[in-house]
Amino acid sequence: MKWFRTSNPYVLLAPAVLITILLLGYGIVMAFLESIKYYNQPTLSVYRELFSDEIFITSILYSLRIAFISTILSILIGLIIVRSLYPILKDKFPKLIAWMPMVFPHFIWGYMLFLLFSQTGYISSFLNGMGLIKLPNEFPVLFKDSFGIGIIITYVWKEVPFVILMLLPVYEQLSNAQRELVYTLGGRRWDVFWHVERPYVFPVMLETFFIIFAFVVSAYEVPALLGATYPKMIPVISYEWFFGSDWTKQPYAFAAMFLLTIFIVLIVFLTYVFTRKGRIHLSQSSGSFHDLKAENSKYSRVLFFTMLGMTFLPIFILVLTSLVQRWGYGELFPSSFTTRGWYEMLWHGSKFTEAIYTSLGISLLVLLLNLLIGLPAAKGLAFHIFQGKSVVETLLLSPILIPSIVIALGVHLTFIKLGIANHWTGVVIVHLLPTLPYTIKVLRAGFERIGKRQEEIAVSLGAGAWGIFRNVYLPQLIPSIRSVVFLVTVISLGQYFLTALIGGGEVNTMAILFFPYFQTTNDAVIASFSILFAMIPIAVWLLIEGVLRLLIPKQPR
Amino acid sequence: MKKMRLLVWIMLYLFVSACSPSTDAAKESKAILKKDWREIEETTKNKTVRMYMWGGDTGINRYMDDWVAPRLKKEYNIALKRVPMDAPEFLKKLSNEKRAGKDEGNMDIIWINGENFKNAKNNGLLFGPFVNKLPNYKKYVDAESLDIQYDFGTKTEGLEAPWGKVQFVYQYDEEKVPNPPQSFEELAQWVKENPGKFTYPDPADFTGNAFVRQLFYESSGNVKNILDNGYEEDFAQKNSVKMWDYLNEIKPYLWREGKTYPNNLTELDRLYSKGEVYMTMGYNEARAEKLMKQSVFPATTRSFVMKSGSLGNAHFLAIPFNSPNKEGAMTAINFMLSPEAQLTKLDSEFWGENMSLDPARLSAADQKKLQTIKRGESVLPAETLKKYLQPEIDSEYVAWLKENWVNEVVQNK
Repeated sequence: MKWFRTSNPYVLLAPAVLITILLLGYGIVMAFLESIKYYNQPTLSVYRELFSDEIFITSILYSLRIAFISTILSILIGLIIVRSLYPILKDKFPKLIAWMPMVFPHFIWGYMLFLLFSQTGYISSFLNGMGLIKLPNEFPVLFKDSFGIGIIITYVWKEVPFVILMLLPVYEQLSNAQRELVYTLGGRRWDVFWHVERPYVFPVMLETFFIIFAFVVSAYEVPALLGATYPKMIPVISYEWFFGSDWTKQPYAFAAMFLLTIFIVLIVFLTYVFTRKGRIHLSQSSGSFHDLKAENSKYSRVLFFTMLGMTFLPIFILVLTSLVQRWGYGELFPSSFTTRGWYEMLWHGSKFTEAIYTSLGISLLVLLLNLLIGLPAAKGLAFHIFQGKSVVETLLLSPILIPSIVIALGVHLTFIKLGIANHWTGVVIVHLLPTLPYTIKVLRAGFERIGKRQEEIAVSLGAGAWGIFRNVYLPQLIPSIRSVVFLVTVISLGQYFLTALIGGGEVNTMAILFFPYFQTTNDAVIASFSILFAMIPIAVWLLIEGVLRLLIPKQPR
Repeated sequence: MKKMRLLVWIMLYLFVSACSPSTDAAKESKAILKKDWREIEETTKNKTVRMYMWGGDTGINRYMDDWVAPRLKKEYNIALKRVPMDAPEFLKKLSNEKRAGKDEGNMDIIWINGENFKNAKNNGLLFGPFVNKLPNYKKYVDAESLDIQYDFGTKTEGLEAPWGKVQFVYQYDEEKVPNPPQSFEELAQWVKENPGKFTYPDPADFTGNAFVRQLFYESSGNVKNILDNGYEEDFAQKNSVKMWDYLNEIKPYLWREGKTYPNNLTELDRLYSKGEVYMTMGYNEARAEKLMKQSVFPATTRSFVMKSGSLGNAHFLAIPFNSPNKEGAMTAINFMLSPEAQLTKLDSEFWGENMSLDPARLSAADQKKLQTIKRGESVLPAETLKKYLQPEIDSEYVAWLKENWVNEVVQNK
């Protein structure tokens, strides 16, 4: 624990930085080398070809547009919800409800929305049953349209909870006194937002923006499921190059993804450089929790129930689908039910139990490592200003900005050589990639809110390092740790590609066992699996919640 | 700080030290191929065989887990572990292992064909040739037949053993389509009369590509022309004009006016199951049976083939170069080629897919058994299927059609 107390930021950050460089560095170098075909004659021809390819350019613009619209909408909606609802969302269960869509992997969520909104989906069918529309094609084309409406709807629906997760801690600890001051001085609601909230909220919003943007622009599952034939998003094209039958096309996949990576990382880096001074540390809060009140309670109740509906409607549809055998278009009720979906899933018996244990074990280990590496790193970033901070910040965020197929090759080669491929250790380590950046992000914000002053006082009173951590930081970091637990388990459980490649079939998590079933036409099977899949992170969350209760002295209230 | 430095050194050491490749692997493989069959079977006792295969079909999975695995355990004491993974993914894993010089991997059997086989073969990822070691291959497989010598135009050369055969058929709803089309011409007619009720998957998909490929056969006059010519871009360009014209002609009458297409067969099947379209298609002449039983497809689903021909191909089992248990893999593959295993596979209860064995070589009792198996009402009679069967062409055409379809059809406004 000496480590934790040290005031040298480089030492605090070293484990996180080393892990990131080790995992990413070789991967990126390999990806670049592949893209210039170094094994034959190094050439930039692939890049030249890409830039003169009309389909590729269209696809890039299309992807950027979709990513931009989805991200902006998610952030705005998330901000509105958090601003109006934070007193309600402070409680555990409303919070869990707001986060709920996150436990479903993206493509499951997309699939649910497809069941609802496609031309022969439940809504269209219901309208037909009520006699409001005659034919399925009178229902508007929302999914698989060339503008990408379906993709955008799915992403917004799915990312708003993430925005809530990122922004909520900020609002929970905003000072009410400052707000009242603005009101007293005759300011309006906008002034409050601009002068009191913006300085704290804006940096978090910016980071959230990049995280979501980078994700949407490079994620494969949703556009592959809901996209139109033309134009296709960049990740879809890249995956086709990468996994396609023509192996000579692989350099194109690397080149496309490499370009995207450079573009995003560069923008993020520049943003860090320019906003460094603007980042305000919330000093130890002068506000207190209990005088939080919503600004407009009737309006916020409506909003809360809308959110509730938006969360539970797709889940309800999923449960229903898992039990329906046949439900003809335009019929108000299903004509026959089945337990086949559940049977198919539970028929796996021993494999199934093994997968649950493996998934639980891996996500708990990943969580532990995340906290061990993330806590010191977050503290280092929160309390210190040092040379090269922007570089370190960009580096630590970069694993989630870089699509996994870019680094997969390098990481796999490294792991084979280290002897941890085809083994759970390799899987645990590789799961750090998509999780650690979030952990550091969230914990850093937590530390910044607490401030350094309490530690200084504790030290002057003779407290030891462990004592400080346990009595000063831990209790106040609980909201952040809760978010970390949730995010890390959800992300770790949803990893398919990296787990399959590094685990190599030896490590059978839930994702490995059940992802193949997404190629079946049987909706009941897919739906049953999706429900079960989502229940695991919730179980982990409840488990950790229990542990936290035992571990923490008392919540300061 | 010191500890940290030590850690870095250890990491670097591991990096460097693990790079030395071993040369014994090739020798060992040769030694295995020299053993006689009894010896091979003997050495497999008490070992695990890991089989990597596409896992998206519950019937196939059940066949492997509930029928094949227990019998392998009982008869050979082999523990068969099925790992669900798509072929491009496990081949990626395998080629990375090759690059990293890993001579002992963890995959023993892989299920592949077509382009995946070609890639695996060309990159030296396969062990063998081993098929002539297998007693059941020698006894029951017609090794001379073209669909076993060639896999999408690539010579198999004993590197993969045929596991099953499938043929491409169209499914339709009898209730909605009383007279299914018999040729592409009639199909075009039907599509125009029933706008929005037909579509085909994007040729980037396996099935969508097969649909376009059959049209390409017709467009170039005869499949023999293509086979004789091999892959040639000029040839493809010249002979595809008719095909693109046809596809563009029916485009406005397709589902969603041809503005978008199902991304894969799953999506097309879903459209069919919801009644959005009246026809679907796919390899495996008996594929509708299981889906009808699950009420995914309407009970009035039947199938047809075009008089101009229907594609058929075989799919195969192969052994990776770095399989840790090659003897076990061979024993397991041999078992899966036994008449008993193949006849069970044919049953629609499990898989419902055609045997890779030559029916004429089966024993009288097995032939009788074969005749009593009812494949279901939606499956065309064996004679009909055989009559219209056509071979696959070079897999380079698959890629060519995929790419050019985007330019010629999608972007053609």
